[in-house]
Amino acid sequence: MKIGATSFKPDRTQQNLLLFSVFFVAAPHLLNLGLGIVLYFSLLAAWRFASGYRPALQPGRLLLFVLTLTGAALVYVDYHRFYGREAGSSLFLVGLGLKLMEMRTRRDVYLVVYLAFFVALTQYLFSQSVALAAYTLAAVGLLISVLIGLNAGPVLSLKIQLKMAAVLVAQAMPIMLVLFLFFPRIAGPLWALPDDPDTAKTGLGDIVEPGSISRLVLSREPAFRVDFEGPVPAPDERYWRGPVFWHTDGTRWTLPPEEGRHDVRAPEFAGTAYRYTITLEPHQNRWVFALDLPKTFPGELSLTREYLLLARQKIGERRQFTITSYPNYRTGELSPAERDLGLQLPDEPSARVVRLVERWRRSSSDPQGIVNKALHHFREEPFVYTLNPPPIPDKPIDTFLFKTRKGFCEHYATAFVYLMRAAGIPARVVTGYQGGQWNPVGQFLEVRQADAHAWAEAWLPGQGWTRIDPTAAVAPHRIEQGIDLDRQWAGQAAGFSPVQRVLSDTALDFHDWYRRVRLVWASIDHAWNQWVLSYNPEHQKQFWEALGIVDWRGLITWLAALSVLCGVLVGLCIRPRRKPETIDPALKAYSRFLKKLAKRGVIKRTGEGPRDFALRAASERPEAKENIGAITALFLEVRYGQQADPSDIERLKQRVKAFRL
Amino acid sequence: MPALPLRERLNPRRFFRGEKATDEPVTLSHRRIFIVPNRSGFGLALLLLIQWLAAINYGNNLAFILTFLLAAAAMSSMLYSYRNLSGLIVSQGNASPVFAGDQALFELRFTNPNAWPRYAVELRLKDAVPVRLDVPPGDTVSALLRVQAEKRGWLELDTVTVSTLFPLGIFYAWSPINLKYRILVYPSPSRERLPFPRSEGEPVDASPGRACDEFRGFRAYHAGDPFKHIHWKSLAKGHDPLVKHYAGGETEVLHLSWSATEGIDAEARLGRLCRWVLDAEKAGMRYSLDLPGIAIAVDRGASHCRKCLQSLALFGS
Repeated sequence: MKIGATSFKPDRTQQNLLLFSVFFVAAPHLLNLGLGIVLYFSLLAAWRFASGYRPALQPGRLLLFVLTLTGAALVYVDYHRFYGREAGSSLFLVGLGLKLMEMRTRRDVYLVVYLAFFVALTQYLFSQSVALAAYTLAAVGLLISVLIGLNAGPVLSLKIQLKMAAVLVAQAMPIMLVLFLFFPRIAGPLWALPDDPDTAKTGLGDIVEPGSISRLVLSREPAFRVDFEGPVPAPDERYWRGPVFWHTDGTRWTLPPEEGRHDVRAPEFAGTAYRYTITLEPHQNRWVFALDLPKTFPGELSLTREYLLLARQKIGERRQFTITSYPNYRTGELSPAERDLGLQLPDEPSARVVRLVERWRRSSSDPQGIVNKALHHFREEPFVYTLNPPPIPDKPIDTFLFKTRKGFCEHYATAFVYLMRAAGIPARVVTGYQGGQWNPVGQFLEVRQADAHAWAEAWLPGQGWTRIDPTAAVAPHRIEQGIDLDRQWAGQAAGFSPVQRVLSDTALDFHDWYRRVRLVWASIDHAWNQWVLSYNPEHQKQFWEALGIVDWRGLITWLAALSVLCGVLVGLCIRPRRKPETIDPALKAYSRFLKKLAKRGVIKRTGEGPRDFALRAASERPEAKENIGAITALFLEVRYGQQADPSDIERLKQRVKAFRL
Repeated sequence: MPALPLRERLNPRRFFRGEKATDEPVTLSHRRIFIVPNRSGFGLALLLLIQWLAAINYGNNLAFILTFLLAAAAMSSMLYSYRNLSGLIVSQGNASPVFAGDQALFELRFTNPNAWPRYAVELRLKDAVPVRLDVPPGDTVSALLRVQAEKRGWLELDTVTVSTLFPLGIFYAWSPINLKYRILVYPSPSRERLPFPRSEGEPVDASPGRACDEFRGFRAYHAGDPFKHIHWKSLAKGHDPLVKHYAGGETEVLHLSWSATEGIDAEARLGRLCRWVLDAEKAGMRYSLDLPGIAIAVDRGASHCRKCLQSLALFGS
């Protein structure tokens, strides 16, 4: 049973297979980790490869020690610590590289393979995409083939070795599925995860200033996906509510510090209810983007006074919530504190702003009238909706309103709120997402980062907080059709890579085809998220309940039954058919001939010799008499004759092939 | 395979010493094959545990999938390990006698009656060098286990452990096998060349230089033939080993007897008698052998020689 001490002297093919597999496994980390670490690992792998051909190149003890220190130093220089996602993964990669260098015994090979398995796992901390899953499946197969080669010795050809590994992995899949579904899940984390400061926050930020939304507009990243139960809201009702901004210093709008408790006055809801499940991509904030406005939601979420849903913790991984929303609502009275917040201005409005607002106030007395005037102003004056507004270094709102008049949604929303406040109407800026692309393949709505949007809310007597979207006044198509990413890309293409240019080529066929592929891909990704990645302890509990598993006894019964089933299936699979693999080609051709005759009702009886059968068949089918006789004679000659020629087998095969009835 | 009584079935000795020896070929079956994880297997278990904890901690479903996939592959590999041994038929081969001090060769034949190949099957016997073999489907492969023959008499084959680590090297599947397989060990012929005892007159000089100098031809090598008689030239050319055969021209009759070797201990006396038998046979003489309780009449030839050596080997047992 002792295998540890056995030294590892594989032939070159096995050695190179091992190196290739390890490199294959580590390759996706090229995207995740620092360049230094990646180069270090590649160098060690190449070194090992070279020393397979020139053993003199193998490093000595001292050099290995220096290499170890170098690796540790590289990790520290890049990340300033040895734990956490990036640093931890780097450390494992460095370890894998070093272990490659001193792979001498069988045990070392096992250590390398096990380390490689773990390195594969660290990649999932960066991405859990379908593509990576498929990639790792291949990687696992390769590593398993390395182990098979190590244990079978040189008799196995590389092809059989790889095939065996593939079969083994394929047979493991159903068992894996059973374990995935039934193996009891524990809600993590078991210990505090080191927080990774490097994790980039994607999506909406916690300030609004010129450029804070438009920077997202070319991002194809999905922000969330929504499955509706029942009706789907019209495009101009699809406002997904994010953080609400009250306070401005004239340039940027900021969020107040988070409050502990929220006393929410429930709005009155009316009209159609939309019930949906939203699958949020991680964005490192607590916001849950509900359709304006949410009424019912899971207990783990809380509602702020601004009707924003908050999760208990930062959404650092993909999450799912089922929510009901009503687009028709009426919020209640305004508290004095809210009124103060909703009228806050950094300093006195400029004379131009005051003049403009005074004109509106004179012509219309009620707030609704002033709002309409303001929207009319945006619509009628030469305002331009553009992704690339000119930079405004000073007095942004004033300059935008009266001088540049070119802006993106955040310009319009903030300027509108500013104007409302100047006119004495409480108003605030709401950010979130607007629209989304309906995926007809997967029947869900996909909202991408490019759909990020900012709009305004004004408090109107009798209605409460009312959503007003000044962007819709300037660029109605933006609200009705959403951002046409492809056109945006085409417009920007000059500054991007040739690949992007090709993809956004206006040749319609290609464009269409590309769009369709993207739709299919998005639905695969969504299904993957929904069915695989969101399976958690809660879902497992629901799944068990659906199967009638209430306690550990039920679970054990199911597990035992399924394990036996899987075991039997694998057992049947690995027991090959009784037929020996190398069958006599003459016999094969003859049985094909028999099959052809049997189809026409001439069946060879058991115990009937070929000669007797040929006579009977010829009498039953006189038209084929000559062929039957010739084939039988040829077969007897090849199989039992003294001087059978290889060409006779070929002739027999051809005659059988040509044989028709 | 006869059913096993319950008591024997539960006996833990079965895992290491195997079942009672039989004359018949042994077919490896679920009753005889045992399987446990080895050190690499426990290493994998540790890896899986760590991966599982990492998966829980990060709530990472792909990490769960990888962990469970590896666990599932390991479980299936256990079936492969079992299948690599299951159905193999082990039978005994030749049993050529050897002299004490030489190596006895136990030949075990492995027949694979099934359609799948067996890879890296290892045979272990207490002190013998382990043998690794692959058995293609429908084929029979022989393995030679070399055992140092220490004492004269019957050398019984000890428990042979047939094992495999195939396919992943994380499970050790083994089957202890006992065959009724024994090799006769002749006494070690004494080193010094003593003159033949003479019932009367001068002792005959038994040195091969004189008595056995007449070259008679070649014959096939048998285990136990002296190395210096091997015809190395033909062996070097890749032929089967041949042995040079010598014979003297004597027609004298020798009476080899226990009483002629007085003064030394019993084993040495047997060794001396053994030497005389061999030398006399080589010299083509006719000889008889007298041991207490056994008397073999005067004769010559291979079967006579074997008979004499056998009675020397089994003397006193």
